[in-house]
Amino acid sequence: MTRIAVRAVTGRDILAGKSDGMRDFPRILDVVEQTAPGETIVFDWDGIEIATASYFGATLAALLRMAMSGELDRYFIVTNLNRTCLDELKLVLEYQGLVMLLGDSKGGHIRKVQVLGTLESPYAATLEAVQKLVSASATELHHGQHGGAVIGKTGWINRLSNLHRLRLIRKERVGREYKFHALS
Amino acid sequence: MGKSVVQIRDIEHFHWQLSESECPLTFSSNGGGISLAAAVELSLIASHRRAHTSEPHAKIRVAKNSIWALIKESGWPLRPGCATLRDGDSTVLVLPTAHDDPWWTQRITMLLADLAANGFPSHLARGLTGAVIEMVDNIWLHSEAPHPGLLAYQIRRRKFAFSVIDVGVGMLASLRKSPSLRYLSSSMEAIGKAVEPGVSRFENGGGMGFPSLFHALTSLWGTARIRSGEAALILDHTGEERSKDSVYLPPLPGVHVSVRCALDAPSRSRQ
Repeated sequence: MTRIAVRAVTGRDILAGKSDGMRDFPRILDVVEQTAPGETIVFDWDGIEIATASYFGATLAALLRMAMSGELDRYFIVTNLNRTCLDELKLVLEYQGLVMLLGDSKGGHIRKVQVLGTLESPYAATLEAVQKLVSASATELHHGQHGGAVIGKTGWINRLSNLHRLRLIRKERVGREYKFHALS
Repeated sequence: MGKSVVQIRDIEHFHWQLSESECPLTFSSNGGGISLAAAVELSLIASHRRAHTSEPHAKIRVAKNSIWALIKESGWPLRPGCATLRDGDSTVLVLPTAHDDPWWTQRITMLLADLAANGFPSHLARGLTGAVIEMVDNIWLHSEAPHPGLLAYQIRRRKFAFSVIDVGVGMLASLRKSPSLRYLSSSMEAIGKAVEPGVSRFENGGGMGFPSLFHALTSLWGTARIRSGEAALILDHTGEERSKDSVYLPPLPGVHVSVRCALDAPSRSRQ
């Protein structure tokens, strides 16, 4: 897990508008690309007074779309956003149909991870099950029937694969099947 | 008109008269004040008339008023380079031509501090400052204006009004640059489309500026008016119910976004 301090990377505390976003995107991407593939990046927004939806759209949402398309093998968590920044991030995630994890960063560790954006309840329940178990395969979830749902193994595979596509859980091949891991 | 404050509706009426007149017309505030939005729009009408000498001239008389005096003093839109003019609670900024200007960053920080100092809770002060930046950023991204934009604002205790204006191509011409929006045929349609989330002439995202503005205004009382080309959209949240209205107007270049908002209901906060 690598923490990136947005204030340090951008050198500013007000990040607003698409123009600022387009200016900062290459810098942020450069820092992200310096981490190992498969890494979880924690974007720390401590010290950022204002960040608007357009700014998030041109930076975080763009990174997330790159990760979802397979262009960038990283996972993302955001932390330490003030109320205004959080509202603006939610705005852009809702409109673009994206989801992202928000972590509570007390004591330097990420805990109490929650989803920003809209995640349908079966997926939310599956994510919760993986987070509870820390890591799980479709077979394990099928046998345990976590999240209160009674579905077939294929159903679990589909849910887990989709959560991985959304970059909310990581995927690792173990023998003949995949194991899915919580990000925090 | 008496000695009441000249409002944007009065300016719209004057603009119609002017557009239909074949001889020079005079506008007078009759000794009364003028609202921020009205003063900014009037200045654009006047400069537009001056630039089109073939059309009847408009003679404008506005009684002693800080915002009108500041706009006149700024020399906008022909003034080259940025400038800050302040008088009491009124500020006029002739904007830089690029977003990455340290001067602009300082002005934003000042605005944020002024809002907080005038009773706006920090999350609302941040939201409103962000919304102003978004509107100004639209000038840099979309206006293609030959002259700098203008930001004018007034901050009073628990009240805020601002206008952002440019003399660029306007919303219709800008949005029509996107192949998927080429079907737009009127300013009215263009404004309606531009305020929708995610709508932009850029294919790769954008179009979140107006949603940010509306979000910032959610918990406040007030009005927002978006004027471009031959139309204006007015969003009214001065009552319990929100309402939306639109009007056709004589053509003007660019875009004028004006907002007036307050923490308290209008009965207690009328400007």
